[in-house]
Amino acid sequence: MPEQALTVSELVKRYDQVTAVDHLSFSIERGELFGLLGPNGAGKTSTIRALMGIVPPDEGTVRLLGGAPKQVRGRVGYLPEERGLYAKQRLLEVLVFLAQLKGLDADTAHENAMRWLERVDLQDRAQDKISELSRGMQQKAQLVATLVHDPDLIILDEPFQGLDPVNVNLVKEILRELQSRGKTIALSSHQMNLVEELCDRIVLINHGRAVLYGPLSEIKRKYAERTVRLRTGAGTEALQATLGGDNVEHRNGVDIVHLADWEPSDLLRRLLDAGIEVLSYEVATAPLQDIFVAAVQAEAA
Amino acid sequence: MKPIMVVASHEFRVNVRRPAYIIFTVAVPIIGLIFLLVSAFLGGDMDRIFTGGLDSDSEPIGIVDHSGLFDPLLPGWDDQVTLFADEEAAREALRAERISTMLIVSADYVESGEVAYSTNESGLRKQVALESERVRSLFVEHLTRDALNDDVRARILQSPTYVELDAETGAPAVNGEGEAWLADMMVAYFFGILLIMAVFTASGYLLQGVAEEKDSRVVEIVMSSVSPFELLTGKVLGLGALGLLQVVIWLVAAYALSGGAQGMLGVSFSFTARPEVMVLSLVYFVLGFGIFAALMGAASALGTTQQESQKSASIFSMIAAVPLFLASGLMQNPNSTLFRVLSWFPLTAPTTMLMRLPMTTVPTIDIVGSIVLTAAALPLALWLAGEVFRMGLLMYGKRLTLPEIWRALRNRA
Repeated sequence: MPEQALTVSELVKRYDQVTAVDHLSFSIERGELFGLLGPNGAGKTSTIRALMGIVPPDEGTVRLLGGAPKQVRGRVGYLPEERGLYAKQRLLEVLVFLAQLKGLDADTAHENAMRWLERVDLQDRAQDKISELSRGMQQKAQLVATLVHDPDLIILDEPFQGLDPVNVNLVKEILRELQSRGKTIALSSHQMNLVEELCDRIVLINHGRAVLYGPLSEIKRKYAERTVRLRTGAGTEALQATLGGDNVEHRNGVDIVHLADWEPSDLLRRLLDAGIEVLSYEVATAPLQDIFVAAVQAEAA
Repeated sequence: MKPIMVVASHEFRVNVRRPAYIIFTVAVPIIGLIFLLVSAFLGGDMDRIFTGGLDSDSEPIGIVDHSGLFDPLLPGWDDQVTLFADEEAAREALRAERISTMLIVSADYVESGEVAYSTNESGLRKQVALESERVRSLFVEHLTRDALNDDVRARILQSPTYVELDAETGAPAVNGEGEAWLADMMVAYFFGILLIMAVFTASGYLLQGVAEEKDSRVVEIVMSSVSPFELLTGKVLGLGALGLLQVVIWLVAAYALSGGAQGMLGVSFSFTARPEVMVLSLVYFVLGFGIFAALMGAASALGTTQQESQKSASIFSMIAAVPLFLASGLMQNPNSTLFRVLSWFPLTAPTTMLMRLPMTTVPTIDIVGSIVLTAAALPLALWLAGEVFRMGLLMYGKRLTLPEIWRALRNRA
């Protein structure tokens, strides 16, 4: 059984009469890049704040890296959605302060901060005041502030917010590097294509509960339309003749075959038996974007 | 302890560089200097304000004696007083500044008491020159020189030496000596005012700092690294040190500027007060500052704007100042029930005790009780304030209500 970096069991968080998190359970394995998803107001921020020990849970337990949140603060990095840095202070000074709060001594904090600033190409701006940096630079500085103390578990809420495509790629690279170094990453984002690209497993939270949870590939298959995208040497009409006219349609230069009761392997066998040359064959999966919307709408209904 | 010191050090370093802090810290001594120069200029005494202050006893005076009471002068007066045969000679000496003041004693002085005078002195020094102890002694000694023996005359010239005895036991009272009592009272006021000033200074920076942290949202990152208690305690320590540094700079500047008697007064007294008063004053200062700064920190997190937070914080400033408002009653009866009750209540104990201690023999039970209660209240205040701080800091654009705070604290407890 894989070692857990984070475990949430039956977590409940209430504010007056509102239940923001409602018996939520999920876990993240060590070294995993995990997606923590949900629409606005779903209870993500409350969950993350409970993970970080910023707000106490009303019920349930949270374990991070084998300990309570407050015991492992120095090993966790957190990039909140509502974020900012001390605008009137110098970048390097702020990073060193935040690293020291995580338990680093001043020299190590300074060394780490400079190394990370170089990594995100901000080394020349180390002595600038935060307010003098562009929005994109500030976003990168925020990421550095999250990573400067070399945490084992990293919780990122909308890390791609405000970044241009070049910097989105840079952050993606950094996340992959961190994962390859054994770091565990929980990623919350509304940019589904990036989650799809980066995450192995996800939990989708709505109304404080887990609506979807598990490996992304399985979830995508479950939500797929049961179609196969085909390119053949025979053309659409030949396919319709072989498989039945209602089961095949031509869309954007590709033939889409609705599987009905067939399994994908059955379809392939029938095509080969019919002597149809198969140029490309792809079992369709639903985009995460569509799954997200469908799951949230199903909840609302 | 380490995160607390990291926060404290950061708060101190960041705020000590603020232009507003530097300007305010420097401006107060400069205003004091300007005030001193203007006062001196208006009084025509600019040169003396730095050298002799208001002391005019060293200036030579002249007498034109028509009564015959001063002729000859008694031994010991020759070097301070010059006897002139006529007014013209005395006026000549006055013009040449060989004397600073000339007195013309009328022939019927005993009946009329009339003394005409001319002087080079001006402003307040003119009055001081005529009503000084030296001039009074000159007249008393010469009027009584044939009527009384030397011992009686010496006693008349000196004020009685009072020795206070305890009303019940008859033993010498602890603070029976007049000058020490006055000195102690000055120390009490000094510490009382210092406490209020430090609270106001620190709370101002706390409010500003917390408002900035809420506004920039950096607070959420900070609170993922330290507990509200550690964050608030660090801020209180750092900004408290900043406030104290400011006050110390002002005091040093006041001392440096005080060539005159007024400047010397406050500073020199602090060295003559009873040691136990000094030690206890320091204890109450630290306890009081800790409690008020913590509560100010909580108040600073409550509002959605700095102005709103300032309003909440002003409640605590007012409570800190209550004993100062009641100062006249406290001077008359420092051991009355009202002041004993205020001494036991942690929010008023520091300032009340700072003022009571030098004025009377405070019952030991009051001292022990108030220190124990205030010291016990300090961590409680920091915890409570930390919880309110945590709730307030994470609420952007919404003001916390008292029922919400109460419910949350009850749940936490």
